[in-house]
Amino acid sequence: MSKVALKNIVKKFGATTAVQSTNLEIEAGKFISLLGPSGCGKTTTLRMVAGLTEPTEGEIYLGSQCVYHDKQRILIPAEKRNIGMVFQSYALWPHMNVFSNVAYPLKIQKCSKDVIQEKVDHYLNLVGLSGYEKRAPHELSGGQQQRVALARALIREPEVLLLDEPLSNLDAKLRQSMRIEIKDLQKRLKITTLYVTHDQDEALTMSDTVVLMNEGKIEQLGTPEELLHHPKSEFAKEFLGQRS
Amino acid sequence: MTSYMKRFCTPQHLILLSASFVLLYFAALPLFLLILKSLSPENIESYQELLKQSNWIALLNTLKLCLITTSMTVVIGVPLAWLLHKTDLPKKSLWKSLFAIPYIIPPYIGAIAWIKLLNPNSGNLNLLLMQVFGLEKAPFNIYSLLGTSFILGLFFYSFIFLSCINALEKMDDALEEAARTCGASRLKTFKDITLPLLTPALASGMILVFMATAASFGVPALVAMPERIFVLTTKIYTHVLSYSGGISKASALAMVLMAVGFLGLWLSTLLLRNKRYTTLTGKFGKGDLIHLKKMKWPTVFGLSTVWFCLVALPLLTIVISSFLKVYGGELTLSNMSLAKYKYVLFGFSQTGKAFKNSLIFAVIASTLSVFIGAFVAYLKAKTQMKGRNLIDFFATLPYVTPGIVVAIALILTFSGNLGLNLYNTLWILIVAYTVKYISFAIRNTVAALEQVDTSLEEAGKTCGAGWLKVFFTILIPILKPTLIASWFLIFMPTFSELTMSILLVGPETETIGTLLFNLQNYDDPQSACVLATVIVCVILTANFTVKKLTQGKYGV
Repeated sequence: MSKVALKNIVKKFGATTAVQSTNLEIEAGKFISLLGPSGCGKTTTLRMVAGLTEPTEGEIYLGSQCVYHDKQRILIPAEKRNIGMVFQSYALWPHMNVFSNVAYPLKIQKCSKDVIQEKVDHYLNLVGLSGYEKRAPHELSGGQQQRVALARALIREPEVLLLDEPLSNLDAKLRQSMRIEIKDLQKRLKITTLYVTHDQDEALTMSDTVVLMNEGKIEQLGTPEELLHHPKSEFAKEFLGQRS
Repeated sequence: MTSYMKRFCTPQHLILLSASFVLLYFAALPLFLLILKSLSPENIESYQELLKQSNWIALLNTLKLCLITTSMTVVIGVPLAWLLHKTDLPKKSLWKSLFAIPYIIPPYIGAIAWIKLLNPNSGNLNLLLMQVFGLEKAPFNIYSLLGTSFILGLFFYSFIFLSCINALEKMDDALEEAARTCGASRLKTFKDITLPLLTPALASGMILVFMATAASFGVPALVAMPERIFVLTTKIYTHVLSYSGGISKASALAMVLMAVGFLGLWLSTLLLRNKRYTTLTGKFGKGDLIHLKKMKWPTVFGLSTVWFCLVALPLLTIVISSFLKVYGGELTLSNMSLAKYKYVLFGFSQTGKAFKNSLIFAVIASTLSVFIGAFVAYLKAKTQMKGRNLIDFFATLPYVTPGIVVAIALILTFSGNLGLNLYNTLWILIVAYTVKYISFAIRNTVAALEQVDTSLEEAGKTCGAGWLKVFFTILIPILKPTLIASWFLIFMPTFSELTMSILLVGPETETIGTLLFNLQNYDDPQSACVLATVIVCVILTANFTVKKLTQGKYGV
């Protein structure tokens, strides 16, 4: 059964169409990348799954729940969707320390102190940041901030993990190792993941399926091998041909 | 001449040093003399006088006024800023300007209007409410401390509103979105994320309101003094007007008023202590606006109503009153005429003079501020001269000091016993306006100079131009938009200035602000309405001009 499904999703900003009638299904436990140049609608698509941007038309399902349906006027707000999201700017709250940042989703769920302590320990350990609980976000390096954001997104054990260009603010070397780390974590936790990037290397090395987008449309969808060896269009050829 | 002398006698040093000297002499020295004099042994009696009950009550009233006004401005300003930043309300920049109008209009204009609307005997709004609800007694009495707070709050909310909306515009929207994806509702997100991140902006807005309220004179003088309710500023004013030893009592009380200002500063540092608000760097995304959908038109209607009651109604009251044939008569077209305008503007000799005075003083003070300010700004931004930050600090001191205290300091320093005698001349007013507002010019010019690369100056020098030539042919033209904007930003408050002027005007130097104050207080509130209308028109025109000239960077 698919974990995430988009049916005929359209998003218009005024007169411009950011996403044109998109259909997409993501199977449970899979890692899917939305790949494309800036302005191709990949981030908008991700934000619609998160509930941060309201679609203009279509239907979205998370697990068995319908979270958006234009005809039935269903719109489940972001906070009622069981998701975890990592932002491009990490969006760590500067007035909270690492512990409070990671614990926040559990505090919202009104978990007991012991449960919070135990889970925060577990997830900080998972991302390799045990002992950093008391640090303020600005006292961490970019890579460490990234991990805190990841721990915060994972701690509520979401149905789907959403990542919006999470590596674009890191230097090249760190990007390499974080790629492996994120992929590793995803495999271990078997969490359904939707990953937005403009970097074809990232998409091709990490994903089970790559969704190549251009001008609001899905250009091609397939495994990294399919995309690499059988690009269907000029655009796909050119975009993936840039691979260094 | 030794080489050492030569190095320091360049035109650059001479000009910068004399600008600093002028600033220190007129801005810093008077305040220090005031402190020195009020703490001298012969002034001890004045402090004993301070312990009198009436002074304690004035202090208590000032504190009450500050607390009520500050709370009120937060309640109005924060939700307004949030609504105008976060939602997809149509015409948001127009709404922002409309709600920022009170930022540029002097609060005493509001006092005149609300006295007309809510005085207990014949206030138009009171009469209307009595009619509608069949009341025996007027429901509101503006002549009270609460009334004073109400009027000040309706002006000073703009400080909170503007500082919060600026902070919101700079905030990374992903910080709030992250909370939503963690399961927090909009309200919880606002409480847990937005409000804490807004705290620095809110605190600086609150301290501004607190200090402006403590320093306010016009409103408490017009609506609280008639009921013999005194705050520190009005108490100081009555001391100065009284004959025996008034000025030393006033200066002792002025120290207390300054202390209240510092109390405000201390409270704000307390608020910010132990908290980290460093915003993290990264690419800042702009999130989606909240779609009001069905709530759109109700919200527009609600905002219009609020704006009408808070901003338009008082201004309209003044304008309509100024046109009435019979003051307090019916609001019909047949009862309207320009007669009062003819009388006030052309028939009444004092008006023309006051208008001309205010115009001249404001123009000279703005020009002086911009010029001296430009040199001081250069000193701060572009040189390594020792003490440059101290000079900047002294330039800001009169701005954060209550106007009435600055006025007393100037009277003490420049009434002849220390050499220069400016008392009863136009120069004491010009000095007062210049030192009070020069920090506007310095702040803006420093910001602009920091954007100008030093290589531009160096290029000029390599072309053979001396420092003066470079300053006037390269820097001044680059800074022109900023200098013009600063000129207008200083012109607006000085043209309508009241608090310092009321103590500094002489028989020949009455300003439009003091004339209006006297007319409202003593004999002719309708003429006061005419003058108020004129002031509002001049200020709105100046604001519109500066906004057009700077493409919306300055002005509201």
